[in-house]
Amino acid sequence: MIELNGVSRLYKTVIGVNDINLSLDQGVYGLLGPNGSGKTTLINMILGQIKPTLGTVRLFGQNPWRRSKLLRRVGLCPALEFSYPRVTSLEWVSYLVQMHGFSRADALLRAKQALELVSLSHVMNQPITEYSLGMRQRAKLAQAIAHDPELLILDEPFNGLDPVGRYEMTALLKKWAAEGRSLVLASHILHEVEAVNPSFLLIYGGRLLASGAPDEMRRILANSPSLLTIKSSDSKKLAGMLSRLDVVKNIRFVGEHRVEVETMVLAEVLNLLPNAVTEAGISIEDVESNDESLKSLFSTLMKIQRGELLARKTL
Amino acid sequence: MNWINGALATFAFEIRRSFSLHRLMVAIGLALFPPVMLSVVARIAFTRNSRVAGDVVQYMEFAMVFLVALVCMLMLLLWATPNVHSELEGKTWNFLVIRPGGRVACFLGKYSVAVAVSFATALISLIGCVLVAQSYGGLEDPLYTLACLGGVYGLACLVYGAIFSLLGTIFIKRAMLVGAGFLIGVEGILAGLPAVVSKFTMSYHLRETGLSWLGWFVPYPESEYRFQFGPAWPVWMHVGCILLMTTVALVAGMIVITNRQYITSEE
Repeated sequence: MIELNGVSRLYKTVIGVNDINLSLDQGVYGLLGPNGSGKTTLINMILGQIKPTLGTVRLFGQNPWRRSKLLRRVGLCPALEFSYPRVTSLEWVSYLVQMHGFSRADALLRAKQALELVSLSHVMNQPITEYSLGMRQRAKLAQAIAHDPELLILDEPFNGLDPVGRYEMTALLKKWAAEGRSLVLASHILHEVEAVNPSFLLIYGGRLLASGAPDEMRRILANSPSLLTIKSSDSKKLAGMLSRLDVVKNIRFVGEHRVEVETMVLAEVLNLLPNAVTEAGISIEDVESNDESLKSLFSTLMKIQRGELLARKTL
Repeated sequence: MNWINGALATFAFEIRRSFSLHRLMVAIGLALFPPVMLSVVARIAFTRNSRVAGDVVQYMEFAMVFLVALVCMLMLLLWATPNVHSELEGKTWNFLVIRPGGRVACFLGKYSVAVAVSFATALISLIGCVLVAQSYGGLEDPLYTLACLGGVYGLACLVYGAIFSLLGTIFIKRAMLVGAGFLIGVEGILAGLPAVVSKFTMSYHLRETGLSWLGWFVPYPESEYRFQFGPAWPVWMHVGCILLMTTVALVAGMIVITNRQYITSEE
Protein backbone atom coordinates (compact mmCIF):
# COMPACT_ATOMS: atom_id res chain seq x y z
CA MET A 1 0.00 0.00 0.00
CA ILE A 2 2.75 2.48 1.00
CA GLU A 3 6.39 2.08 0.03
CA LEU A 4 9.26 4.38 0.86
CA ASN A 5 12.76 3.68 -0.38
CA GLY A 6 15.63 5.70 1.07
CA VAL A 7 13.37 8.71 1.51
CA SER A 8 14.90 11.92 2.88
CA ARG A 9 13.50 15.41 2.91
CA LEU A 10 15.50 18.56 3.54
CA TYR A 11 14.07 21.99 4.40
CA LYS A 12 17.09 24.06 3.35
CA THR A 13 19.64 22.87 5.91
CA VAL A 14 17.16 21.19 8.26
CA ILE A 15 16.48 17.48 7.85
CA GLY A 16 12.75 16.79 8.07
CA VAL A 17 12.92 13.10 7.26
CA ASN A 18 16.13 11.12 7.13
CA ASP A 19 16.64 7.99 5.01
CA ILE A 20 13.41 6.15 5.72
CA ASN A 21 12.79 2.73 4.21
CA LEU A 22 9.34 1.38 4.77
CA SER A 23 6.83 -0.96 3.25
CA LEU A 24 3.32 -1.01 4.62
CA ASP A 25 0.65 -3.45 3.52
CA GLN A 26 -3.03 -2.97 4.27
CA GLY A 27 -3.57 -2.65 8.00
CA VAL A 28 -3.60 -0.37 11.00
CA TYR A 29 -0.45 1.59 11.83
CA GLY A 30 0.45 3.94 14.62
CA LEU A 31 3.04 6.53 13.61
CA LEU A 32 4.53 7.59 16.90
CA GLY A 33 6.98 10.36 17.55
CA PRO A 34 7.36 13.54 19.56
CA ASN A 35 6.39 16.91 18.09
CA GLY A 36 8.74 17.92 15.29
CA SER A 37 9.94 14.38 14.68
CA GLY A 38 8.91 14.37 11.01
CA LYS A 39 5.47 12.72 11.13
CA THR A 40 3.66 15.42 9.16
CA THR A 41 6.47 15.66 6.59
CA LEU A 42 6.28 11.90 6.12
CA ILE A 43 2.50 12.04 5.66
CA ASN A 44 2.79 14.90 3.16
CA MET A 45 5.30 12.91 1.15
CA ILE A 46 3.11 9.80 1.20
CA LEU A 47 0.23 11.91 -0.14
CA GLY A 48 2.36 13.59 -2.79
CA GLN A 49 2.08 17.07 -1.37
CA ILE A 50 5.82 17.45 -1.08
CA LYS A 51 8.56 15.66 -2.98
CA PRO A 52 11.31 13.75 -1.23
CA THR A 53 14.76 15.29 -1.67
CA LEU A 54 16.11 11.76 -2.02
CA GLY A 55 14.46 8.40 -2.52
CA THR A 56 11.14 7.27 -3.90
CA VAL A 57 7.60 7.16 -2.53
CA ARG A 58 4.90 4.83 -3.80
CA LEU A 59 1.25 4.92 -2.79
CA PHE A 60 -0.85 2.04 -4.08
CA GLY A 61 2.12 1.25 -6.32
CA GLN A 62 2.29 4.67 -7.98
CA ASN A 63 4.10 7.96 -7.51
CA PRO A 64 1.63 10.16 -5.59
CA TRP A 65 3.31 13.39 -6.73
CA ARG A 66 2.40 12.67 -10.34
CA ARG A 67 -0.86 10.79 -9.82
CA SER A 68 -3.29 12.94 -7.88
CA LYS A 69 -6.10 10.52 -8.85
CA LEU A 70 -4.74 8.26 -6.10
CA LEU A 71 -6.03 10.74 -3.56
CA ARG A 72 -9.57 9.56 -4.27
CA ARG A 73 -8.63 6.43 -2.30
CA VAL A 74 -7.24 8.32 0.68
CA GLY A 75 -8.77 10.38 3.46
CA LEU A 76 -6.60 12.77 5.44
CA CYS A 77 -7.36 14.48 8.70
CA PRO A 78 -4.51 17.01 9.09
CA ALA A 79 -3.32 18.26 12.45
CA LEU A 80 -3.75 21.89 11.42
CA GLU A 81 -6.37 24.09 13.02
CA PHE A 82 -8.20 25.63 10.09
CA SER A 83 -10.52 28.63 9.93
CA TYR A 84 -13.39 29.31 7.53
CA PRO A 85 -15.50 32.13 8.90
CA ARG A 86 -19.30 31.75 8.58
CA VAL A 87 -19.11 28.29 6.94
CA THR A 88 -21.15 25.46 8.43
CA SER A 89 -19.69 21.97 8.72
CA LEU A 90 -22.30 20.64 6.29
CA GLU A 91 -21.32 23.20 3.64
CA TRP A 92 -17.62 22.55 4.20
CA VAL A 93 -17.74 18.77 4.20
CA SER A 94 -20.09 18.58 1.20
CA TYR A 95 -17.83 21.00 -0.70
CA LEU A 96 -14.79 18.83 -0.02
CA VAL A 97 -16.69 15.68 -1.04
CA GLN A 98 -17.70 17.41 -4.29
CA MET A 99 -14.00 18.01 -4.93
CA HIS A 100 -13.69 14.22 -5.16
CA GLY A 101 -15.98 14.23 -8.17
CA PHE A 102 -19.36 13.59 -6.53
CA SER A 103 -22.45 15.48 -7.63
CA ARG A 104 -23.83 18.15 -5.29
CA ALA A 105 -26.72 15.93 -4.16
CA ASP A 106 -24.43 12.94 -3.56
CA ALA A 107 -21.91 15.09 -1.73
CA LEU A 108 -24.60 16.54 0.51
CA LEU A 109 -25.87 13.07 1.39
CA ARG A 110 -22.38 11.73 2.11
CA ALA A 111 -21.54 14.81 4.19
CA LYS A 112 -24.67 14.33 6.29
CA GLN A 113 -23.84 10.65 6.85
CA ALA A 114 -20.25 11.41 7.81
CA LEU A 115 -21.29 14.17 10.20
CA GLU A 116 -23.79 11.83 11.79
CA LEU A 117 -21.06 9.22 12.21
CA VAL A 118 -18.92 11.71 14.15
CA SER A 119 -21.96 12.90 16.17
CA LEU A 120 -22.11 16.36 14.68
CA SER A 121 -25.42 16.15 12.85
CA HIS A 122 -27.18 18.27 15.49
CA VAL A 123 -24.84 21.22 14.82
CA MET A 124 -24.10 20.69 11.13
CA ASN A 125 -25.89 23.89 10.15
CA GLN A 126 -23.93 26.02 12.59
CA PRO A 127 -20.72 27.84 11.58
CA ILE A 128 -17.58 25.84 12.35
CA THR A 129 -16.09 28.89 14.08
CA GLU A 130 -18.69 28.42 16.82
CA TYR A 131 -17.53 24.85 17.46
CA SER A 132 -15.36 23.71 20.34
CA LEU A 133 -11.91 22.35 19.53
CA GLY A 134 -13.19 18.79 19.89
CA MET A 135 -16.11 19.44 17.54
CA ARG A 136 -13.78 20.94 14.94
CA GLN A 137 -11.61 17.85 15.26
CA ARG A 138 -14.64 15.67 14.55
CA ALA A 139 -15.62 17.84 11.57
CA LYS A 140 -12.11 17.30 10.22
CA LEU A 141 -12.56 13.57 10.62
CA ALA A 142 -15.93 13.76 8.83
CA GLN A 143 -14.36 15.35 5.73
CA ALA A 144 -11.72 12.61 5.72
CA ILE A 145 -14.16 9.70 5.76
CA ALA A 146 -17.11 11.14 3.83
CA HIS A 147 -15.91 9.92 0.42
CA ASP A 148 -15.36 6.42 1.80
CA PRO A 149 -11.60 6.07 1.32
CA GLU A 150 -9.58 2.84 1.47
CA LEU A 151 -6.84 4.44 3.53
CA LEU A 152 -7.43 6.90 6.32
CA ILE A 153 -4.52 8.99 7.59
CA LEU A 154 -5.03 10.91 10.81
CA ASP A 155 -2.49 13.40 12.10
CA GLU A 156 -2.91 13.99 15.85
CA PRO A 157 -6.66 13.26 15.79
CA PHE A 158 -7.04 13.32 19.57
CA ASN A 159 -5.87 16.93 19.93
CA GLY A 160 -8.40 18.95 21.86
CA LEU A 161 -10.78 16.08 22.54
CA ASP A 162 -12.22 15.64 26.01
CA PRO A 163 -12.28 12.14 27.57
CA VAL A 164 -15.69 11.35 26.07
CA GLY A 165 -14.54 12.61 22.70
CA ARG A 166 -11.39 10.49 22.94
CA TYR A 167 -13.43 7.45 23.78
CA GLU A 168 -15.78 8.07 20.84
CA MET A 169 -12.90 8.72 18.46
CA THR A 170 -11.17 5.52 19.58
CA ALA A 171 -14.39 3.53 19.14
CA LEU A 172 -14.84 4.97 15.66
CA LEU A 173 -11.29 4.14 14.64
CA LYS A 174 -11.59 0.63 16.07
CA LYS A 175 -14.74 0.15 14.01
CA TRP A 176 -12.94 1.46 10.93
CA ALA A 177 -10.08 -0.98 11.49
CA ALA A 178 -12.48 -3.86 12.22
CA GLU A 179 -14.06 -3.31 8.80
CA GLY A 180 -10.70 -4.28 7.31
CA ARG A 181 -9.84 -0.81 6.10
CA SER A 182 -6.39 0.71 6.43
CA LEU A 183 -5.47 3.35 8.94
CA VAL A 184 -2.36 5.37 9.72
CA LEU A 185 -2.64 7.17 13.01
CA ALA A 186 0.07 9.72 13.78
CA SER A 187 0.41 10.89 17.35
CA HIS A 188 2.92 11.81 20.02
CA ILE A 189 0.93 10.09 22.78
CA LEU A 190 1.44 6.36 23.07
CA HIS A 191 -1.68 5.22 24.88
CA GLU A 192 -3.96 7.02 22.40
CA VAL A 193 -2.49 5.06 19.55
CA GLU A 194 -2.23 1.86 21.55
CA ALA A 195 -6.00 1.78 22.03
CA VAL A 196 -6.49 1.00 18.32
CA ASN A 197 -3.97 -1.86 18.59
CA PRO A 198 -1.89 -0.96 15.57
CA SER A 199 1.52 -1.97 14.32
CA PHE A 200 3.89 0.74 15.46
CA LEU A 201 6.23 2.98 13.52
CA LEU A 202 8.46 4.98 15.81
CA ILE A 203 9.94 8.12 14.30
CA TYR A 204 12.32 10.53 15.99
CA GLY A 205 14.53 13.25 14.55
CA GLY A 206 13.29 12.35 11.09
CA ARG A 207 14.51 8.75 11.41
CA LEU A 208 12.44 5.63 11.67
CA LEU A 209 13.79 4.16 14.88
CA ALA A 210 11.70 1.02 15.08
CA SER A 211 8.66 -0.64 13.64
CA GLY A 212 6.74 -3.69 14.58
CA ALA A 213 3.68 -5.37 15.99
CA PRO A 214 2.18 -4.27 19.34
CA ASP A 215 3.87 -7.16 21.18
CA GLU A 216 7.29 -6.18 19.87
CA MET A 217 6.74 -2.60 21.01
CA ARG A 218 5.66 -3.73 24.44
CA ARG A 219 8.86 -5.73 24.69
CA ILE A 220 10.93 -2.66 23.81
CA LEU A 221 8.91 -0.62 26.26
CA ALA A 222 9.48 -3.20 28.99
CA ASN A 223 13.23 -2.93 28.42
CA SER A 224 13.32 0.83 28.46
CA PRO A 225 13.66 2.71 31.75
CA SER A 226 10.77 4.76 33.07
CA LEU A 227 11.14 8.18 34.60
CA LEU A 228 9.28 9.26 37.70
CA THR A 229 9.38 12.77 39.15
CA ILE A 230 8.45 12.99 42.84
CA LYS A 231 7.81 16.19 44.76
CA SER A 232 8.17 15.66 48.51
CA SER A 233 8.62 17.54 51.78
CA ASP A 234 12.25 16.31 52.07
CA SER A 235 13.83 15.46 48.75
CA LYS A 236 17.27 14.58 50.22
CA LYS A 237 15.79 12.07 52.64
CA LEU A 238 13.58 10.66 49.88
CA ALA A 239 16.56 10.28 47.56
CA GLY A 240 18.51 8.47 50.27
CA MET A 241 15.63 6.14 50.91
CA LEU A 242 15.01 5.43 47.20
CA SER A 243 18.68 4.71 46.59
CA ARG A 244 18.33 1.68 48.86
CA LEU A 245 15.70 0.14 46.55
CA ASP A 246 17.21 -2.37 44.11
CA VAL A 247 14.76 -1.49 41.34
CA VAL A 248 15.92 2.13 41.20
CA LYS A 249 18.59 2.71 38.57
CA ASN A 250 19.33 6.42 38.89
CA ILE A 251 18.27 9.38 41.02
CA ARG A 252 18.66 13.03 40.09
CA PHE A 253 17.65 16.19 41.95
CA VAL A 254 15.34 18.52 40.02
CA GLY A 255 15.16 21.85 41.83
CA GLU A 256 14.81 21.99 45.60
CA HIS A 257 11.85 19.70 46.22
CA ARG A 258 11.85 17.24 43.34
CA VAL A 259 13.78 14.09 42.53
CA GLU A 260 13.75 12.27 39.22
CA VAL A 261 13.89 8.50 39.54
CA GLU A 262 14.90 6.21 36.69
CA THR A 263 13.74 2.62 36.96
CA MET A 264 13.24 -0.42 34.79
CA VAL A 265 10.26 -1.56 36.88
CA LEU A 266 7.97 1.38 37.38
CA ALA A 267 5.15 -0.62 38.96
CA GLU A 268 7.42 -1.98 41.68
CA VAL A 269 8.68 1.48 42.63
CA LEU A 270 5.12 2.71 42.86
CA ASN A 271 4.25 -0.27 45.08
CA LEU A 272 7.19 0.21 47.42
CA LEU A 273 6.93 4.00 47.62
CA PRO A 274 3.94 4.38 50.04
CA ASN A 275 5.39 2.12 52.77
CA ALA A 276 8.87 3.54 52.40
CA VAL A 277 7.80 7.16 52.77
CA THR A 278 5.49 6.35 55.67
CA GLU A 279 8.35 4.72 57.52
CA ALA A 280 10.68 7.64 56.76
CA GLY A 281 8.01 10.21 57.68
CA ILE A 282 8.14 12.04 54.36
CA SER A 283 5.04 13.51 52.76
CA ILE A 284 4.64 13.14 48.99
CA GLU A 285 3.02 16.12 47.26
CA ASP A 286 3.16 15.05 43.63
CA VAL A 287 4.17 12.06 41.52
CA GLU A 288 4.59 12.46 37.79
CA SER A 289 5.38 9.80 35.23
CA ASN A 290 7.02 10.91 31.99
CA ASP A 291 5.91 7.80 30.19
CA GLU A 292 3.27 9.62 28.18
CA SER A 293 5.81 11.68 26.34
CA LEU A 294 7.53 8.53 25.12
CA LYS A 295 10.72 10.22 26.20
CA SER A 296 12.22 7.16 27.81
CA LEU A 297 11.27 4.88 24.94
CA PHE A 298 12.79 7.17 22.34
CA SER A 299 15.82 7.73 24.48
CA THR A 300 16.33 3.95 24.65
CA LEU A 301 15.82 3.53 20.93
CA MET A 302 18.25 6.34 20.17
CA LYS A 303 20.80 4.69 22.44
CA ILE A 304 20.25 1.36 20.65
CA GLN A 305 20.72 3.12 17.30
CA ARG A 306 23.93 4.79 18.40
CA GLY A 307 25.14 1.53 19.91
CA GLU A 308 25.40 3.10 23.38
CA LEU A 309 23.10 0.61 25.06
CA LEU A 310 24.94 -2.35 23.65
CA ALA A 311 28.24 -0.80 24.74
CA ARG A 312 27.02 -0.39 28.30
CA LYS A 313 25.85 -3.99 28.44
CA THR A 314 29.21 -5.16 27.15
CA LEU A 315 31.01 -3.14 29.80
CA MET B 1 -11.81 15.73 -15.58
CA ASN B 2 -12.33 15.84 -11.84
CA TRP B 3 -10.83 19.31 -11.67
CA ILE B 4 -13.71 20.81 -13.66
CA ASN B 5 -16.18 19.47 -11.12
CA GLY B 6 -13.87 20.66 -8.35
CA ALA B 7 -13.54 24.12 -9.90
CA LEU B 8 -17.34 24.43 -10.10
CA ALA B 9 -17.64 23.29 -6.47
CA THR B 10 -14.99 25.83 -5.41
CA PHE B 11 -16.79 28.55 -7.36
CA ALA B 12 -20.12 27.77 -5.68
CA PHE B 13 -18.52 27.50 -2.23
CA GLU B 14 -16.55 30.74 -2.55
CA ILE B 15 -19.48 32.66 -4.02
CA ARG B 16 -21.62 31.62 -1.02
CA ARG B 17 -18.82 32.74 1.28
CA SER B 18 -18.58 36.09 -0.51
CA PHE B 19 -22.05 37.08 0.67
CA SER B 20 -20.86 38.33 4.03
CA LEU B 21 -21.65 41.76 5.39
CA HIS B 22 -18.02 42.85 5.36
CA ARG B 23 -17.36 41.76 1.78
CA LEU B 24 -20.64 43.19 0.52
CA MET B 25 -19.90 46.52 2.19
CA VAL B 26 -16.47 46.67 0.52
CA ALA B 27 -17.97 45.81 -2.88
CA ILE B 28 -20.82 48.30 -2.56
CA GLY B 29 -18.46 51.01 -1.31
CA LEU B 30 -16.16 50.50 -4.28
CA ALA B 31 -19.05 50.23 -6.76
CA LEU B 32 -20.51 53.53 -5.57
CA PHE B 33 -17.23 55.42 -5.68
CA PRO B 34 -17.13 56.20 -9.47
CA PRO B 35 -20.76 57.40 -9.84
CA VAL B 36 -20.45 59.51 -6.69
CA MET B 37 -17.17 61.05 -7.90
CA LEU B 38 -18.58 61.67 -11.36
CA SER B 39 -21.67 63.25 -9.88
CA VAL B 40 -19.67 65.52 -7.57
CA VAL B 41 -17.35 66.69 -10.37
CA ALA B 42 -20.25 67.33 -12.75
CA ARG B 43 -22.30 69.16 -10.11
CA ILE B 44 -19.41 71.46 -9.15
CA ALA B 45 -18.62 72.15 -12.82
CA PHE B 46 -22.23 72.89 -13.69
CA THR B 47 -22.85 75.20 -10.74
CA ARG B 48 -19.60 77.22 -11.08
CA ASN B 49 -18.46 77.45 -14.69
CA SER B 50 -20.36 76.72 -17.87
CA ARG B 51 -17.19 76.43 -20.03
CA VAL B 52 -15.75 73.76 -17.70
CA ALA B 53 -19.17 72.12 -17.62
CA GLY B 54 -18.91 71.63 -21.40
CA ASP B 55 -15.52 69.93 -21.03
CA VAL B 56 -16.85 67.70 -18.28
CA VAL B 57 -19.70 66.56 -20.48
CA GLN B 58 -17.32 66.02 -23.41
CA TYR B 59 -14.96 63.82 -21.42
CA MET B 60 -17.50 62.19 -19.16
CA GLU B 61 -17.06 58.88 -20.95
CA PHE B 62 -13.31 58.99 -20.39
CA ALA B 63 -13.70 59.83 -16.70
CA MET B 64 -16.22 57.02 -16.39
CA VAL B 65 -13.85 54.51 -18.03
CA PHE B 66 -10.95 55.60 -15.83
CA LEU B 67 -12.88 55.51 -12.53
CA VAL B 68 -14.56 52.17 -13.18
CA ALA B 69 -11.24 50.70 -14.32
CA LEU B 70 -9.75 51.69 -10.95
CA VAL B 71 -12.53 49.91 -9.11
CA CYS B 72 -12.32 46.86 -11.36
CA MET B 73 -8.55 46.51 -10.88
CA LEU B 74 -8.82 47.00 -7.13
CA MET B 75 -11.46 44.28 -6.86
CA LEU B 76 -9.33 41.92 -8.95
CA LEU B 77 -6.30 42.63 -6.78
CA LEU B 78 -8.34 41.92 -3.66
CA TRP B 79 -9.91 38.71 -4.97
CA ALA B 80 -7.48 37.10 -7.39
CA THR B 81 -4.02 37.62 -5.90
CA PRO B 82 -4.52 35.92 -2.51
CA ASN B 83 -5.71 32.65 -4.12
CA VAL B 84 -3.01 30.49 -2.51
CA HIS B 85 -2.01 32.73 0.37
CA SER B 86 -5.50 32.89 1.89
CA GLU B 87 -5.71 29.08 1.96
CA LEU B 88 -2.24 28.70 3.44
CA GLU B 89 -2.94 31.42 6.00
CA GLY B 90 -6.30 29.91 6.97
CA LYS B 91 -4.63 26.46 7.06
CA THR B 92 -7.28 25.12 4.70
CA TRP B 93 -4.81 24.40 1.91
CA ASN B 94 -4.11 20.82 3.05
CA PHE B 95 -7.80 19.96 2.96
CA LEU B 96 -8.17 21.13 -0.64
CA VAL B 97 -5.04 19.74 -2.22
CA ILE B 98 -5.59 16.18 -1.02
CA ARG B 99 -8.45 15.89 -3.51
CA PRO B 100 -7.75 14.60 -7.03
CA GLY B 101 -6.91 17.64 -9.14
CA GLY B 102 -7.56 19.77 -6.06
CA ARG B 103 -4.84 22.31 -6.80
CA VAL B 104 -6.07 23.12 -10.30
CA ALA B 105 -9.70 23.06 -9.13
CA CYS B 106 -8.90 25.53 -6.37
CA PHE B 107 -6.97 27.77 -8.78
CA LEU B 108 -9.68 27.85 -11.45
CA GLY B 109 -12.54 28.08 -8.96
CA LYS B 110 -11.01 31.05 -7.21
CA TYR B 111 -10.15 32.70 -10.53
CA SER B 112 -13.78 32.37 -11.63
CA VAL B 113 -14.98 33.90 -8.38
CA ALA B 114 -12.54 36.81 -8.72
CA VAL B 115 -13.74 37.46 -12.28
CA ALA B 116 -17.43 37.17 -11.36
CA VAL B 117 -17.24 39.40 -8.28
CA SER B 118 -15.04 42.03 -9.96
CA PHE B 119 -17.17 42.12 -13.08
CA ALA B 120 -20.37 42.40 -11.07
CA THR B 121 -18.92 45.31 -9.08
CA ALA B 122 -17.64 47.00 -12.24
CA LEU B 123 -21.00 46.56 -13.94
CA ILE B 124 -22.93 48.06 -11.01
CA SER B 125 -20.47 50.92 -10.95
CA LEU B 126 -20.82 51.37 -14.70
CA ILE B 127 -24.61 51.47 -14.51
CA GLY B 128 -24.36 54.13 -11.81
CA CYS B 129 -21.92 56.16 -13.94
CA VAL B 130 -24.10 55.87 -17.05
CA LEU B 131 -27.10 57.11 -15.07
CA VAL B 132 -25.12 60.07 -13.74
CA ALA B 133 -23.68 60.87 -17.18
CA GLN B 134 -27.10 60.61 -18.77
CA SER B 135 -28.60 62.99 -16.22
CA TYR B 136 -26.06 65.62 -17.36
CA GLY B 137 -26.60 64.83 -21.04
CA GLY B 138 -23.09 63.38 -21.43
CA LEU B 139 -24.05 60.29 -23.43
CA GLU B 140 -25.76 59.93 -26.78
CA ASP B 141 -26.75 56.29 -26.45
CA PRO B 142 -26.43 55.16 -22.82
CA LEU B 143 -27.44 51.55 -23.44
CA TYR B 144 -24.91 51.15 -26.23
CA THR B 145 -22.19 52.71 -24.04
CA LEU B 146 -23.13 50.36 -21.23
CA ALA B 147 -22.96 47.31 -23.50
CA CYS B 148 -19.60 48.32 -25.03
CA LEU B 149 -17.95 49.15 -21.73
CA GLY B 150 -19.48 46.05 -20.14
CA GLY B 151 -17.76 44.01 -22.85
CA VAL B 152 -14.44 45.78 -22.33
CA TYR B 153 -14.59 45.30 -18.55
CA GLY B 154 -15.57 41.68 -19.03
CA LEU B 155 -12.42 41.14 -21.11
CA ALA B 156 -10.37 43.14 -18.58
CA CYS B 157 -11.62 40.97 -15.72
CA LEU B 158 -10.79 37.80 -17.64
CA VAL B 159 -7.24 38.79 -18.53
CA TYR B 160 -6.20 40.66 -15.38
CA GLY B 161 -7.87 38.05 -13.19
CA ALA B 162 -5.73 35.40 -14.90
CA ILE B 163 -2.54 37.46 -14.57
CA PHE B 164 -3.18 38.24 -10.88
CA SER B 165 -4.06 34.60 -10.18
CA LEU B 166 -0.78 33.56 -11.77
CA LEU B 167 1.07 36.11 -9.62
CA GLY B 168 -0.73 34.69 -6.58
CA THR B 169 0.71 31.25 -7.23
CA ILE B 170 4.26 32.59 -7.64
CA PHE B 171 4.59 35.40 -5.10
CA ILE B 172 2.54 33.96 -2.29
CA LYS B 173 2.97 36.54 0.47
CA ARG B 174 3.50 39.70 -1.61
CA ALA B 175 1.19 38.87 -4.51
CA MET B 176 -1.01 41.94 -4.04
CA LEU B 177 2.00 44.24 -3.94
CA VAL B 178 3.51 42.63 -7.03
CA GLY B 179 0.11 42.86 -8.72
CA ALA B 180 -0.15 46.58 -7.96
CA GLY B 181 3.43 47.06 -9.17
CA PHE B 182 2.60 45.21 -12.39
CA LEU B 183 -0.44 47.42 -12.96
CA ILE B 184 1.47 50.65 -12.45
CA GLY B 185 4.71 49.61 -14.16
CA VAL B 186 3.55 47.48 -17.06
CA GLU B 187 -0.09 48.34 -17.66
CA GLY B 188 0.29 52.00 -16.71
CA ILE B 189 3.71 53.30 -17.72
CA LEU B 190 4.74 50.75 -20.37
CA ALA B 191 1.33 50.82 -22.08
CA GLY B 192 1.60 54.59 -22.39
CA LEU B 193 4.93 54.51 -24.19
CA PRO B 194 4.73 55.31 -27.91
CA ALA B 195 6.73 52.22 -28.83
CA VAL B 196 6.19 48.66 -30.01
CA VAL B 197 6.58 47.42 -26.45
CA SER B 198 3.22 48.99 -25.52
CA LYS B 199 1.51 46.50 -27.84
CA PHE B 200 2.52 43.72 -25.46
CA THR B 201 0.42 45.22 -22.70
CA MET B 202 -3.20 44.31 -22.16
CA SER B 203 -4.31 47.87 -21.47
CA TYR B 204 -3.27 48.79 -25.03
CA HIS B 205 -5.49 46.06 -26.48
CA LEU B 206 -8.36 46.92 -24.14
CA ARG B 207 -8.06 50.59 -25.04
CA GLU B 208 -8.08 49.80 -28.75
CA THR B 209 -11.07 47.47 -28.31
CA GLY B 210 -12.92 50.21 -26.44
CA LEU B 211 -12.06 52.76 -29.14
CA SER B 212 -13.29 50.39 -31.85
CA TRP B 213 -16.57 49.65 -30.15
CA LEU B 214 -17.29 52.99 -28.52
CA GLY B 215 -15.68 55.52 -30.86
CA TRP B 216 -13.19 58.20 -29.88
CA PHE B 217 -13.35 59.10 -26.17
CA VAL B 218 -9.79 59.79 -25.00
CA PRO B 219 -8.95 63.43 -24.20
CA TYR B 220 -6.46 64.11 -26.99
CA PRO B 221 -6.63 64.22 -30.79
CA GLU B 222 -6.95 60.95 -32.68
CA SER B 223 -4.27 61.95 -35.24
CA GLU B 224 -1.74 62.53 -32.49
CA TYR B 225 -2.64 59.20 -30.85
CA ARG B 226 -2.36 57.29 -34.13
CA PHE B 227 0.97 58.97 -34.87
CA GLN B 228 2.31 57.69 -31.55
CA PHE B 229 0.73 54.25 -31.35
CA GLY B 230 0.23 53.39 -34.99
CA PRO B 231 -2.95 52.43 -36.83
CA ALA B 232 -5.59 50.30 -35.15
CA TRP B 233 -5.79 46.59 -35.86
CA PRO B 234 -9.09 44.88 -36.53
CA VAL B 235 -10.93 44.50 -33.25
CA TRP B 236 -10.88 40.69 -33.40
CA MET B 237 -7.08 40.81 -33.24
CA HIS B 238 -7.15 42.84 -30.03
CA VAL B 239 -9.75 40.55 -28.50
CA GLY B 240 -7.70 37.55 -29.68
CA CYS B 241 -4.57 38.94 -27.97
CA ILE B 242 -6.53 39.41 -24.74
CA LEU B 243 -7.98 35.89 -24.82
CA LEU B 244 -4.59 34.41 -25.73
CA MET B 245 -2.95 36.15 -22.78
CA THR B 246 -5.78 34.92 -20.51
CA THR B 247 -5.19 31.35 -21.62
CA VAL B 248 -1.40 31.63 -21.29
CA ALA B 249 -1.67 33.09 -17.77
CA LEU B 250 -4.17 30.44 -16.67
CA VAL B 251 -2.14 27.55 -18.07
CA ALA B 252 1.04 28.95 -16.49
CA GLY B 253 -0.80 29.34 -13.17
CA MET B 254 -2.05 25.75 -13.33
CA ILE B 255 1.48 24.49 -14.05
CA VAL B 256 2.94 26.49 -11.15
CA ILE B 257 0.27 25.49 -8.65
CA THR B 258 0.53 21.81 -9.61
CA ASN B 259 4.29 21.64 -9.35
CA ARG B 260 5.05 23.93 -6.44
CA GLN B 261 5.46 22.52 -2.95
CA TYR B 262 3.57 24.90 -0.70
CA ILE B 263 4.28 24.56 2.99
CA THR B 264 1.88 25.92 5.60
CA SER B 265 3.42 28.12 8.27
CA GLU B 266 2.77 25.60 11.04
CA GLU B 267 4.64 22.87 9.17
